[in-house]
Amino acid sequence: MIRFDNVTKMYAQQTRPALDDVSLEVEKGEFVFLVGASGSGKSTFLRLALREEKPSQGRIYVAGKDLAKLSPWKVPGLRRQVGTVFQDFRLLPNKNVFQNVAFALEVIGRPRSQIAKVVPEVLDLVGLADKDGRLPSELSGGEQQRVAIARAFVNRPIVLLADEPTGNLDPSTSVGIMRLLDRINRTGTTVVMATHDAQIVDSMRRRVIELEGGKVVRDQSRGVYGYSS
Amino acid sequence: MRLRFVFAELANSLRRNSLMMFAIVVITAFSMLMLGSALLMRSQVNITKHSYYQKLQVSVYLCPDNSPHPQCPTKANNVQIDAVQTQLDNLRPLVTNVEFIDQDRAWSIYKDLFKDQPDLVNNTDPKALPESFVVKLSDPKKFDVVSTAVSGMPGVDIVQNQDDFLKKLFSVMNAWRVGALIFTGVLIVAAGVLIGVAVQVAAVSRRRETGIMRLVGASRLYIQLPFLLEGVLAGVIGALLGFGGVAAAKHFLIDTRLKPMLPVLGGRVIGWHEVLATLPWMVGLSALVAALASFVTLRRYMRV
Repeated sequence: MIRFDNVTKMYAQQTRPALDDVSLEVEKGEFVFLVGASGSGKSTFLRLALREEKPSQGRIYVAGKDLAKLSPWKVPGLRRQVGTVFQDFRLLPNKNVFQNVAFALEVIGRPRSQIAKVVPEVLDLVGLADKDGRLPSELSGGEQQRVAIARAFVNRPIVLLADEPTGNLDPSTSVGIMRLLDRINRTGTTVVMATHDAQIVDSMRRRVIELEGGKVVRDQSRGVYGYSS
Repeated sequence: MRLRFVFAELANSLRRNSLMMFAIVVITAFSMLMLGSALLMRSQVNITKHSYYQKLQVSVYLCPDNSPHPQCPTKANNVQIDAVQTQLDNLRPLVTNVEFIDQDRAWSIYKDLFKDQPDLVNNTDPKALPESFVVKLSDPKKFDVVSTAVSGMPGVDIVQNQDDFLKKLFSVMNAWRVGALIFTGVLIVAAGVLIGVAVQVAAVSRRRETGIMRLVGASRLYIQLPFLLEGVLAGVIGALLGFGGVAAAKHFLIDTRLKPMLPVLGGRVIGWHEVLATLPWMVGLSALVAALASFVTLRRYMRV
């Protein structure tokens, strides 16, 4: 589903590569934790998979597409198959819960009838069916993240990339978010989650890829967060 | 659904950016007013030129009695007059008509021309008026051909046409037109820059929306179209106002102030037909400039 072949990423004006000769493969339906200290290359990995950045060297395949051969006007098509969730939620403050989720479908030109049917379904899935008229400012952090996940998932992507989705949340709320991501994973969606949260990683017992200085230093199925932190 | 979304975004952005839009509309209106007046000036020059060239004729004056000019030692005699007539006839088909004005005709024309000044008429000796040929040309610009063919012939005094006056008139009108075009160019560049800046401001203020649109896979067209339309809309409104200005100028200046000069301008001033003809140019050009400015700005300042 996601394959990196000897991928190196150098940012301009930096001497050290953000990713250094990384090769790995994430299978369809897998749940993968990407762990490592700040600056270890987790976010760069996700940005490359989304084609927000292009690698300096190496090949990247996502959802069966060779990203190097993907022409610019086909990038939106890729992003429709890849959902994304961030630490800071990135909701639109002047739109309510329903409108925030519907926005993701409106901007890719989906008909209103479909939006009216699909959005309540996904809000039900994330447990916010009764709060669809609230504004983001009227929701707790955990609820806001649920809206963001609903928005990322409403178009039924085959891959979900999550960059520190629990980074702003307290531990008990984080558990709820993890249950939700687990449920989404069980629908067959591949989930890649970058995180600092050792407790979550240890409790889930899923595949763990650890990055350090842009290199893969550990790749374990059913792993734990690590020894140092 | 698609269009609804685009127009909702557009309306939102217009509300937020209203001051900037106002500035764009005003500067575009002025630049288009300049363009319109330059276009109208060209139409008027064409009308006037056409009308004058239709009527343009060359006068070949023959030597009168007691001329001070060295080329006229004596009054032109019949042999000389016949020779000039033959020479002019040889120039057909360039020469379409040759009319001989004898002293009686010349006198009656003279009396008619100065009928308001009886003193002048009374003090003029009819015998002092020169006889002449009035020559009409199929192509008035080839005046030189006639001039070189007959000037210097015995009995010919001077060859004169009305072209010199016209040349002055047209050069004044053309200078006005070129000035207006240069001014138009400067204003259009300013309008383009302003539109670019406005689109940039709009793009930055909606970075959050466009960022999300990008992430969920909205196409480039879908993300950028509202911004592009915003610029183009401002440009088109400006052009329409500019056209209003041109129409007002036509009504209040040309139709009233210019009417007394009608004979000089060739009997007809620009009509509504010519004024309307400027509209597509104004709207088209400002829409094009606005689209171009928006497009370039979006390419530079918005990641997709």
